[in-house]
Amino acid sequence: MPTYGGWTGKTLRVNLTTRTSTVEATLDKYKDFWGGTGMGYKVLWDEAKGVTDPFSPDNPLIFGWGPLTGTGAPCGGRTCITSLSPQHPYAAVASGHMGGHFSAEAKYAGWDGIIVTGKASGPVYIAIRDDQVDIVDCPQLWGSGIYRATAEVVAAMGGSCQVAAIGQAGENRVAQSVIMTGYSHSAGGQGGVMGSKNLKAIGIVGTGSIKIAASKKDWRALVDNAMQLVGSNNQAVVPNSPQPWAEYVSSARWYAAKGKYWGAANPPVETGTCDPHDRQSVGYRCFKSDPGAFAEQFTVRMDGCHSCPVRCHQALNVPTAAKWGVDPTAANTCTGWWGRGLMNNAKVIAGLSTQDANLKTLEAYVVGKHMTDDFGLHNNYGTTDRGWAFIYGADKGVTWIKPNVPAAEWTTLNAPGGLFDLYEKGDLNFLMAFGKMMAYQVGELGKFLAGPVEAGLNKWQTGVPGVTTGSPGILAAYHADTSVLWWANGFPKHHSPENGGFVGALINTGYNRDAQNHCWSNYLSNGLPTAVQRTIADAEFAKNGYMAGMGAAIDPNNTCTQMNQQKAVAARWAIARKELMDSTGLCSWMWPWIASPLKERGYAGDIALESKLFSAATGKTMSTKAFDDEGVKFYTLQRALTMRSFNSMHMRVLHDQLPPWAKVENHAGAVAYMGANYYMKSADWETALDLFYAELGYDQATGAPTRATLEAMGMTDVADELDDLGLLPASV
Amino acid sequence: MSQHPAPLLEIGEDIGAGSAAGKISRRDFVKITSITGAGMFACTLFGSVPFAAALKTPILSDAKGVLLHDISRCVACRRCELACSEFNDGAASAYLARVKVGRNFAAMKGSPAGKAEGRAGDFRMQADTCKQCPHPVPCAEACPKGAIRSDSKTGARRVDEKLCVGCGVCTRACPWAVITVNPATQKASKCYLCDGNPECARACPTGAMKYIAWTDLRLTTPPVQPGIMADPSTTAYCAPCHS
Ligand code: SF4
Ligand code: SF4
Ligand code: SF4
Repeated sequence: MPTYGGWTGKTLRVNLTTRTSTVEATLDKYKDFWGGTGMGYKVLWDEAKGVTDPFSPDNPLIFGWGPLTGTGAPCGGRTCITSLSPQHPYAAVASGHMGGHFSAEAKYAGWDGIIVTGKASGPVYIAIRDDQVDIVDCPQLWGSGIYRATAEVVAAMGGSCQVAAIGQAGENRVAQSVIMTGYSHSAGGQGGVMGSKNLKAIGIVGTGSIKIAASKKDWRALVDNAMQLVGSNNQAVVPNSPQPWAEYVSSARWYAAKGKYWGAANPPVETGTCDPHDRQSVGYRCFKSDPGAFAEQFTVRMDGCHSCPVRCHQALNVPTAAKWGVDPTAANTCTGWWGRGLMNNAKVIAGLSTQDANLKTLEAYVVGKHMTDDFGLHNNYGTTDRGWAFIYGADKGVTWIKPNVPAAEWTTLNAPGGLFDLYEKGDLNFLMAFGKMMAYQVGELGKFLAGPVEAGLNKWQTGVPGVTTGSPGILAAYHADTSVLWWANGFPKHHSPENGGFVGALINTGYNRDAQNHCWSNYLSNGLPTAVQRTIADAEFAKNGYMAGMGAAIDPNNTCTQMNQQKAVAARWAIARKELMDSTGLCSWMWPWIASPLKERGYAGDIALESKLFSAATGKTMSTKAFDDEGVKFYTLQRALTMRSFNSMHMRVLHDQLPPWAKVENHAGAVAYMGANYYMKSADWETALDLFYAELGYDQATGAPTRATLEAMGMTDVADELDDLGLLPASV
Repeated sequence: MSQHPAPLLEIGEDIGAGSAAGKISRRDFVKITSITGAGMFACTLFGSVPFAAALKTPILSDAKGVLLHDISRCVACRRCELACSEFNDGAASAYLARVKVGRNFAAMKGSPAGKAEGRAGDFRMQADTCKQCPHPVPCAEACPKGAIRSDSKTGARRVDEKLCVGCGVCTRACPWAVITVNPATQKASKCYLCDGNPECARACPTGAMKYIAWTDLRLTTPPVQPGIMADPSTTAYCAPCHS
């Protein structure tokens, strides 16, 4: 019997080149860099030296989760997939995240993580039944979509099997591709890496168990406590409409109400008032209907990930969608419904009655979901749809697309029944045509859309040699377009200055893709009045060893005030927690819980809850402060990996820049810090970086971690290697 | 047809494993021989299992309560599985859990299994729960050690770990496949209604899982084909009523 809990103690390593699998001792090998991204970064640091091609067999693909995965710690169903990223111009490290039940099943099968290396000689899937690991040839599945691949693996392995698979997009090494599990949970960016390894799917059946180190009584009390503090989607703690128990009303994502039904349930289910003390209505709170209120009558139920009571995925049954050749049932959430956004709404509903327009719009959600999820396409937080809208423009692509595709392609696109024709007619067949073009990289337009928009723009700037003339100025025009939501790292902004001013901006500098970090933005959007948020933040952070007055870090959404020390602390805390969520297995879309829905607590949550759950599950006691330091350590290794890929230590100028639209100087007549906008002064941004780097122990001139910082974190080897590569800032 | 007459024995009074015929009291014997109504179901279930001499006493009076799972409300979160295994076994496990949800995720489009009711193909998800079957209780009938008995508090069909040898016969006899042998303890593990405070129902965030007064729920979810009917010693015991 293990002397620890939470972990299974074993990590699986599969070498597809040699078709062998080996077992590593998790707590031995991944003791200092543990869990989803912790282990992921460590494997990449040790094993991806000098790798610049993300599709090389030498790019490890790491499926990671953590000690809370598969346990009753609420909202713990995430899988974190890390590799060198095909979406990044320097193939810098990035992670994609998917929910569902895949990682829980993997834990039950006895695995703390799965590291896939090499490349199979032909299409295979990995079949994991507890200890038994088989590499199964599957040429018959190559070329099929995710749905069929998943169904076939389920047919082979049984109904309890959980599958992660790629579609045609991943097979064809499309950068904008996903790995998907459970019909609606997808991790963006790594599909092509899986495809480059000839790995179609991983199927897992697990019949084991995960020991909890704490006593049953203590664990139950802790889980109960967490279930009392949980809110709704994104840890919203205030309902969206007046409720008998509620002091406040807000626009937060807590939509349940009397008279609001899962209309397609049989019989229909009323979501109701959902008093926060009622344990048996937590699962009704969210009822987030992304397609709008009209879709409520088509909702069978809400769905979501393993162990999560919140349920942010909406499961629809729209019978009339079948006329577009797709299954009428579809589930997803947020930008997972992105296919719909590719079409122009006015064109989709032109000439229709309100009822027919609503229905067709909803059908478009269903068709779009099936298109993206079966081909396995990723939109990188809306970049693909916005990029498409940008290049197609108001002139049907004449300005930006025409000069960049061969004449014959342009003719095909404009022909009757061609892509542009379908788009103009609002014909939902456009969606499948678009997806196919992307997944198979058809023509120059297909190639453009299959990659990150920024990469495509760079190419179109000069044109395809010998084929097209290109569009000088396209990049500048794109960056100047405020509707494309572009961040300075070439990826979309994701809760940037509009959610937290300087804190949001600093968080957005952290990654080599869009920042999938909701630790701070969730709090700002939880529905509580700002004054209450500040009071709670003052107390919660101080209680856990942070500086006094952390409420001063809070800027209400869509505003920005002057930088201060608290904001640097908040940004550090948020980047630490994001890594910790990825590495414990908890959901960064829900955790941490600074606030709760409980009035009797003054709406306070508990920012020590994750470390308490970690300690209780594993038996390794960790204070909140020590826990957060672990997160900073993981982040710092990610930073070192980034520097190695950039072959530069100059993160400050190459990586951590603010996009022009965030600077007040670029908005004539705008005044900063007065509550009217979220823009900041350029000079203050430099101050913000100084304070942020100081918090992290990074060199101010370069934004790189110093030797002293690396050594204090136990990363002398990393410091040495950076030094050898000439990437370590000079000691002061 | 599924209800037998008034309880044959009081809850907790059921006759234990290893009981020889001689230990059955006259009062019990009179009760047993007066059964008529249960015959149809029992005969079908037992088929023609060979008569054997050893006797065991599987007649269990009805449980007081049972879990009722509402397929329209279930959101497939599996918190019931987690509560059952963590709070009863101290370990998180879909396999150990006495309520089974995870195995019904054959949700994928195109997977024939997913098309069955409650297998999530149309998103409706069935949690498989113990029906606390009325006499004849398939798992108890099958147990060669008579280790499945009625709990003194709730009447739940409960594994007596002292008697259970972990042979797994019950797991194949249960028509809903809701018994598991715990590999760590080598003891069968089945729903015992948590002494009347079911953790799964308490943990369910939608109220899909409810604890209700016992009623016969055996027709609400289709059984799987049980692999084993009854232990020979049981059928011998049953012969006086069902010959
Ligand atoms: S375990 Fe199966 S056979 Fe036994 S009482 Fe429960 S449902 Fe009936
Ligand atoms: S009542 Fe108790 S033993 Fe039975 S399934 Fe629920 S949690 Fe498990
Ligand atoms: S806890 Fe409730 S909603 Fe969740 S899987 Fe179990 S029965 Fe369904």
